[in-house]
Parts: sequence; C-alpha cells; structure tokens
Amino acid sequence: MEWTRRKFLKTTAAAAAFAAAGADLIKGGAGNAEAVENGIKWGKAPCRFCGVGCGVLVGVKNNRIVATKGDPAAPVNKGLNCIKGYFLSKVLYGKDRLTKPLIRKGDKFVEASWDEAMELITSKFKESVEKHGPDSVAIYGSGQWTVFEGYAASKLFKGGIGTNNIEPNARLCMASAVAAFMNTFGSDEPMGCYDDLDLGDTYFLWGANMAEAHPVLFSRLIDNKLKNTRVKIIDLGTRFTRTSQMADMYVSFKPQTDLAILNGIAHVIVKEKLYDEDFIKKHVVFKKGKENIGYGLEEKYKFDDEPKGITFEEYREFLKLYTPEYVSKLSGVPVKTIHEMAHLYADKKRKVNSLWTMGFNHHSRGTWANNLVYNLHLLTGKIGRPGENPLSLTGQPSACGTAREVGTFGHRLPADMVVMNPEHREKTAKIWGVPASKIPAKPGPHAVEMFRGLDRGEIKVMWIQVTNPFVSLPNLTRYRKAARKEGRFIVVSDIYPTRSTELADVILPSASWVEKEGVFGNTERRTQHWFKLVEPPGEARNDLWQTMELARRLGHGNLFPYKSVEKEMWEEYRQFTIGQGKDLAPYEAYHKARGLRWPVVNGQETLWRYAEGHDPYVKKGEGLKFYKNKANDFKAVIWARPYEPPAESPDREYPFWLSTGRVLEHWHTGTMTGRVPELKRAYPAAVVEMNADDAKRLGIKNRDKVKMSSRRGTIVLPAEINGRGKPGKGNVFVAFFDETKLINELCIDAYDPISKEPEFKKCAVKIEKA
Amino acid sequence: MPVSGVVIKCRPEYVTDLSETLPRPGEVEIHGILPDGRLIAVIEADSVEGEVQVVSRLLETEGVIDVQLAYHNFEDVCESADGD
Repeated sequence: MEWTRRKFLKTTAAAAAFAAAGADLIKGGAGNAEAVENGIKWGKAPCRFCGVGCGVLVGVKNNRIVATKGDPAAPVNKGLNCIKGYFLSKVLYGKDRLTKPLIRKGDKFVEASWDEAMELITSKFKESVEKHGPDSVAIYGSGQWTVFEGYAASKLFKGGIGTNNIEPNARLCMASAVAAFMNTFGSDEPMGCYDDLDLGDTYFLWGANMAEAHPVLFSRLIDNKLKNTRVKIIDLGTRFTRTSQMADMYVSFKPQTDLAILNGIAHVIVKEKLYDEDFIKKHVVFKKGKENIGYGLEEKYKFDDEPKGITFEEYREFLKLYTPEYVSKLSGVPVKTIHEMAHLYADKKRKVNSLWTMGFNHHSRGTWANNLVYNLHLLTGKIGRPGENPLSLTGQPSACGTAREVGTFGHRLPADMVVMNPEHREKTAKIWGVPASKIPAKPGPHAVEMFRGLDRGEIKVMWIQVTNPFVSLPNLTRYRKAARKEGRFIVVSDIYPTRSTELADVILPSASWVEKEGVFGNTERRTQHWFKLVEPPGEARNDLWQTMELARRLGHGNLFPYKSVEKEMWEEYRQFTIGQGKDLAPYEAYHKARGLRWPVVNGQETLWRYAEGHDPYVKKGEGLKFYKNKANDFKAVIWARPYEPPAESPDREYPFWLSTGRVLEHWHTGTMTGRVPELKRAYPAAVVEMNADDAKRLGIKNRDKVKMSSRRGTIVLPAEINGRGKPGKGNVFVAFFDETKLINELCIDAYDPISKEPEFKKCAVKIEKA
Repeated sequence: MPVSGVVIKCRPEYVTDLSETLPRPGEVEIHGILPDGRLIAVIEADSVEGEVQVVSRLLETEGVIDVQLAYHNFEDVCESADGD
C-alpha cells in the first residue's frame, strides 16, 4: 500500500480516537451514520457481541465492510468499543462461511438447493406432527435472535404449529434474573440504567468479571472512579480477576456461599436497624417460599414454589441464623468485612449499586441469589433513584430484547405474559389472528428438559437457530449423543460450521448482523435498530425468512401476511407492549435514534422505571411505585431465602470446585471470535487456571498438562498459574470458548428449580498431572 | 495491513512513562496525551489477529487500565479476499 495512503489511514484512525475521547464535544455526530467519506458509506448498528449494546458505525465499500468505528452518538459507549470490536471485521468474512444449504448423506454433507432443504425439513415436521403430535417438534433459539426472528419463531410454533416447544439459549444465561424480576417486582428487566454507573459512588460486583465480560461498562465505572475519589468498588468472587485488580476491596468467598453472605449483610442491616423504615412500610411486602427445593437432576423434575406472606418480624427471625460469625464460617469472609459491607449498603450518604451476571445466574439457587440482592436494596430504599440501583447485566445482544421481551421461552408470551394464563393466551391469539385454543396452556419444556426430551425420544425434530447448544449445554456428552440417535432430525441454521452443525441432518446458511435488518434490546431496556448494509454471501439467508418459509410450506403462511415484513411485524408486536409499562415506539422512531429505553411514551424514553419524574406510569405525588406488581398491592417483595448447598460439592475423590466462564478476547463458544489458526490467536486455547498453592502441592508447574475429571467427563488442558485470573484455593477455572476442548462435558446438568437455569459455575473435579 | 485508533486509559501515575515505553515501530504509535491522562494511539499489524495481540499485550502492561477501540480500518485485509 502506498505510503501516503497509509499515512492518511493512520491520521484518520488517530483523529477518530481523539474525537471519541472527547465525545462530549462532538454531540452533533448523530447525523453521521449515513455519511460517505473516502468512498466508505457508514451505517449504524449495535455491536453483534455481548449484551451491553454498544453503538458501532459500520463502513461499507463495494458491498463489503471495510471499517468500523465506535459510534460517537451512541450514549452506551460514546464512540469507543472494546477489544471485541476488532472481531466485528471477522464476524462475516471467515474463510469457512456457510453459503449453501447442506443435507447429511451418511457421514457427509452434500450441497442442496434451498427448495430441497426446505422441502425435506417441512416433510420431517409434517410427519412428526401427524404421527406424534405438535409437541414432538421444537425450536431452540437465542438471545442473538433479532426481535423479528424470535417473534416469528414464537408465532409459528405457539400460534401455528400449536406447541410451546420453543426455548432460547437465554435459559442458560438469564432465566434466574427473569424469575427474580417477576417474583420481586412483577415485571421483567431493570429499573435502573447505565447512567447509574456514572452517578453512583458505591458498586458491589457480585461474581461479575466486568473488566473482561462487560469492558465498556467497566470503563464507564472506572471513569467515574478516576473523577471521584469517593467511589468504592467492592468485588466479590471466587477468582481474582482484572476486575478485582481495579477494585478497592476484593472479597473472596467459597462457592455458593453468596447466599449466606447476602443474608449476613441483611442480618446486620436489620439487627442494627440500618434499614429505611419508611420505605419498607410504603413499598415492601415480605414472603417466604419452599425450602430444600432440589436440583432438577431427576428426569421430568417438577417444582412449583409456594410463596407465603410473612411479617417483617418473621423475616427478622429468619435472619437470626445468619450472624456474621456463622456466615464467616461458611463463606470464609471475615466477620469485620460482613459488617463493613452492611454499613456501606446502608450508609445514607452513599449511592449504592449492585451488579451481577452469570455468578448469580449460573447457580442452582440463582433466583434466590437475585432475590437476596434485591432484599438489600429494598431494605435500604436504594432503588429506583438515579445513581443507586441493582443492575442485572446480560451476556447476549438481545437476551432482553428478544428472548425476554418477545417471550421466546416455553412458558412466556410477549410483554411478560405467560401461556398458563387464559387471558394472556386470549390477548396473544387476538393480535396474532389465531383461535385462542391454538396456543397450548401447558408450558413447553425448559432448555435442559427439552434436550433430555430429545434424548428420551419425545422430541423428534428440532430446529436450532443462532446458537451452539452442543458446546454450551451442561453434561454435554448425553445431549451430543442424543442428537444423533435414530429417529431424531436436527436442523441447524448458522453462519459457520460449528460443533452443533456437525451433528445436524440439515445445515442452513444464515445471514448475519448487518446482512439483514434487525432490532436488538440490551441490558438497560434500550431497543436498537439497524438496516441491512451488505448482502449475505452465496445463498445465505436471514433466519427470519427461513422460519417464515417453513411456515408457508406447513400451511401457516397466513401468520405472516406482511408486505414490508420488518415494519409490519414490528407494529404488530408493538401492540403487546402499549399500556403495559413496556411501551415500544413506532418503527421509524428507531431508525435514527441510537436506541430508546422503554417504556417509550409520547416519544420519550424512560431512564428510571417506577420513579416519579422519570417513568410516565408513575403519577405526581406517588414518588416511587412498583406499578406492575398489582398482585402485591404495588409493592416489591423481600424474600426469606436460605443458604442451601449446591448439587455437587468437592469431596475426597473430586476435591476441586470447577467454575466455567469467559475471557476478554473470545465471545461465548468462539464461533465468531475463534475463526483463525490457533497459533495466531491472542488467547489461543483453553487453559485451566489453578491456584498457585494447589499447583505446588500437586507438583504442577505453569503450562504443564493436567488431566481434569468430573463424574461426567475428562479433559486434558495446560495449567495456568498466576495468569490473568487467580482462583482461590481449591478452585479451578476454565473458559468455554474453545470448541476443541468441550469443558461442558464435565459440568453437571443440575439447575435452579425455579428458573430452570443450569449450574455452570459449580461442580466437583479431580486434577492429575497428565 | 489493518490500522486502528485506540484510546488507552492509564493509572494517572503511569501516564508519562507509558507514553514513552509503549510505542513500538510498526505496532504502536502514540499520537497524543489527553489532559485526563488517556493516551491516543494508532495500532498496526499484519493482520487483525496481530492487532488484537498488540492490544492484549498493552492490556497486560502495568499501569494500563483499559484499551478501547475508536476506529478500525481493514480495507486491504478484505482485498485479499479471504478475510485474513
């Protein structure tokens, strides 16, 4: 390349970095999205990776993406992306991109036309429904589905085929957060927003490595800290991470004892009367539910919680057990630290926030952990006000917008409605234009049970879209074998070959990200739209088209009568949200805006839900109102939830705790970030992070190969000692991005009986030198 | 060769030293120091993976809090038709 051109590009890069660093000065950038410069046409889109929802400007030349910029007009990230932004260049252009439908012939896949592939899929669906009923077919989707893709799948399966057999991978990710939002506030999704990262001064991070998993939000938090010396970050975890390095206080605890610590903090707050009595009287009720609730390890395990109202006095009695001394013994956290944390939560001069993600959610008592952290905010009244809120972080770009808001779970319908409620079915059927009797009242199986059903043979035909379950499920060996059992038929739509496509009967090549029009919804209720900017390669097609094509061929084409598909589908979907405190704006409102946080009423987004002056549903003089919780007299619930051990704890034979998780340079199962030769990667392959003392005791040195086994599987990995993450004594950690090392074969498929979300953070393993 | 513009957030006491020690010919050029202590840099490498490796190395450097990406041009990478 010519020197002058290179110099020009470098100057452009530096200028963009300067501009982004001073983003406040150039707010006029909102119109830049369609600008053309240097032959590059720019369009806006939310980032394709995590749930933060950063704005990206995508530069296109000759129908190809040639550049990306952090979007200076995007309030989420203000012109700066994280390191994963580099991989946006790779999302679409890996060498092995799928471009033609493929049909399995024996052990090989042969290219087929769309017509052949869709005809085969249609015949399998028809045959299965005729022979075994609608519950013999299923669709397994994703928090990476666009709103349209999720909506079409839900409408076809629930309203057309007549089965609730639809689940998203978000069940493996966010289900506990959803369950707790529903049973605490009567409505899913947070009251606060990212502005709380700028406005607060005390941040408790519960088992969340934000520096690696949500770097842009962590950066906002650090900006706040650098500007304000009062800001305190308290990081609680079982592994010392990059996040811990930046924290003022690192609190190491034994796995699962977060439940006890949360109750211990509440114990001190209640015992020392540090709570906000007035707030509690106005806004809180107390409840308890079932205890010793099991772990879902049995086939077709059934569980229903039995909530019972209790008094504040009874709650106080419940907390008596959780003295700092008792909690310290269980958790390893010093008594003094428990007191200190309680006083920080309760300090009336501090604006306190709690943030968490998979540490709470990948937990066999995940709903309880979410409940218990809300308890602290409800006891102290630090909720629903700018700068002080609990915030459940998400991992996928539309876990909120699609999986949760559209309701692509076996039990859910749009806008927090559920299939078990006849009025909800009635309303849904009316908007969908189908008889209410079409939508079954019985919830479909949750993700783990759906794949168990595939193994047992109740589910014969399964379509998997935008996800890689045969890497990401726990107790993986069972479900990988299930997929290839006689009489099963698996369709996988994806953009690259994966460890899931290898088990398919038909592989469909999909369009990705800006190769289609879409809408995602992020963690802070922000709904973001993008237009199609480039053509997909070869014969790859939008998953939305694929689902509607199956509908047409099955005789359900009437469900999708649209001429302008996305716009008309949006306006139909939007009807579910209006007047429900979940209001979405007309489609066009999202075309230029860098997202809007719902409820959007009269064109105005809502930053803080339930708060007078911010949320249009709260009337003047009401102050704060949990207006979605009608069943509890518009109050939120403080739950008495005990500490209970996990399904499997270390013992003599398997003496270590195994936790799985993420690293900065890869995203989830690595299908988009791992498409380069291993030696060239920044974070090449999975390692097992070990505690230095444990390694020394076992005679293991850094990079030695170790054999790690659980009761379910064995894996050989290099050990990493004193690397980026440092697990506490007795703990090991493995990231799950590496498709050549299926760590989930070791994980137990225990789950939270309330949310049905599996336990990926705790199982027992043994370690030997390989 | 791809080119990117990044903003490097540093612990305040390290800024001056890092502005001198981070640059490497053909990899990292420092283009400015902002009043709040952030560094503006341009990253170059043979491939996108190379850029990511440079950024990962920067992140491992003592005193560096964070590296954020403002602009990424991979035009000529695309011209090689295989996306790297």
